[in-house]
Amino acid sequence: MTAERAVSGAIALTRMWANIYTLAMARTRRAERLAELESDLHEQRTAAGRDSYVLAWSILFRALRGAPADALNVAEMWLPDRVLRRLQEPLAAAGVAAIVATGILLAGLPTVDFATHVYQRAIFLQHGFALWNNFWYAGRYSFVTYSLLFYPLAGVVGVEVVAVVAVALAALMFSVVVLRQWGRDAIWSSRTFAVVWGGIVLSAAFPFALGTAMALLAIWALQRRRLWRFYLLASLTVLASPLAFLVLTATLAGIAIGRHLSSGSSESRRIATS
Amino acid sequence: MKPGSLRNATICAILPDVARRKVGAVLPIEVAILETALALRRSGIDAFHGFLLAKTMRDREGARVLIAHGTLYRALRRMEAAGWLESEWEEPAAAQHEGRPRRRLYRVTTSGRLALAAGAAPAPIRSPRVIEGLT
Repeated sequence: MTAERAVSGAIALTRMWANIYTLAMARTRRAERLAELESDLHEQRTAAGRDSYVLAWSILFRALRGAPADALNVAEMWLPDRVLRRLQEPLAAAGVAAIVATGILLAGLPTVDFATHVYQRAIFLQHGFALWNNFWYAGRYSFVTYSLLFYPLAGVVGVEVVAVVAVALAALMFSVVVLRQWGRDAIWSSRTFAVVWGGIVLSAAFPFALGTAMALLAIWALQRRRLWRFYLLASLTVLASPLAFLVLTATLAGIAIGRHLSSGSSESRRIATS
Repeated sequence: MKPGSLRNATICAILPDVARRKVGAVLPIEVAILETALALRRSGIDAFHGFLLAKTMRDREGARVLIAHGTLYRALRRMEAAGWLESEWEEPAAAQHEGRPRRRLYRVTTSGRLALAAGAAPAPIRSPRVIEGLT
C-alpha cells in the first residue's frame, strides 16, 4: 500500500465513522459537524506537505481517540444525565469496540469465516430455516449448529451491521457487568476487552459474538436478580450461538463453584472460631 | 454587574449546558483551548479554525500527537454553548479561491476570557522545554 493510499484510506475511515455517529443528529448540526471535520482533514493533509504513513496513522489515531467523545455526543441526545454518567465508561467501551470492528471490516482485512455467513444468509433468504444443506461438504445442518438468530437479523440489515452491533453490545455489557461487580478497579479490564473484542471480527465468528452479547446480558440480568429476564436471555444465547451458551454455562458453573467454596470456607472459619 | 464579578459559578448557573459540571470548574481542555486561542490572538490571529487550534495546542504543549477530532469538536461545541467562544463559517468565495473546504472560524468572547481568568488553574504543560529548564 502506498502512503497516498494509506492517507486516503485513513480519511475514508474517519469520514465513514463520522457519517455513522452523526446519523442521529439534527440535519443542520450533522451537516456542520461533517463540514468541520472535512475542513480539518483537508488542513491536516495540506499542512503535512506530502502524504506519509505517519500522516495516515495520525489521522486514524485522532479519529480512534475521539470515538468515546463522539459516542457521548450521541448518547447525550437520548439519555438523562444520571443514566449517562453511569453509562459513560460502558458507552466508551462500546464505541471503541465498534470502531475497531468497523475499521477491520472497511479495511477489507481477511476475515476467516466471512464467506460462510454471506452464504448462510443467502440460504436463509432463499429457503428460510432449511434444516439440511446437501451442498456444503458432504451435507450438514444449515443453522442449528451455527445460529438460529444471527441469519434472520443479517437477512434484514446485513451481516456487517449485525456483526458490529453484536461486538459493540458485548463490549458495552462486559463493561456494565464488571464495573457493577468490581467497581472502578475493573476499568482497565473493560477498556482492554473493548479493544481486543473488536478484533473478533478477524475470525468472523459473528454468531458467537452475538451469543456472547446475549450471554453477558443474561449475566447482567442475574446480577440484578431478574430471573425471568435471565431465562429469556439465556434462551436467546442458545439461539444466537450454542457455543456461547456453553461458555455461559461454564461461567455460571464457575461462579456457583466459587460461591460454594467460599461459603464452605467461611463455614469452616465459623466452626473453628466457635 | 462588573466584569470581574462574573465568576464561573455564575456562568454555570445561567447556562444549562454546563450546569451539571462542578461549580467553579473549567475543564483542563477548556483552559488549554482558551489559552491557545488568546495566544493566537496575541500573535495576530483573531479567528481560528479547528485544525489550527489543534496544531497550535500541540506545539505549545510540546505534545507529540494532535488532539482527537471527537475531543476537540465536542469541547468547542460545549464552549460555544457556554458563550465562551463564538463561531461563524467563512465566506464560500474565500474557500473556493484557495480550493479547500470552508473553515468554521472561532473567536474567544469576553465571557471566555473572564471564565479563564476566574476559574482556570494553569494548564498542565508537558513541554520538554520546561523539563529542560528544571534540570
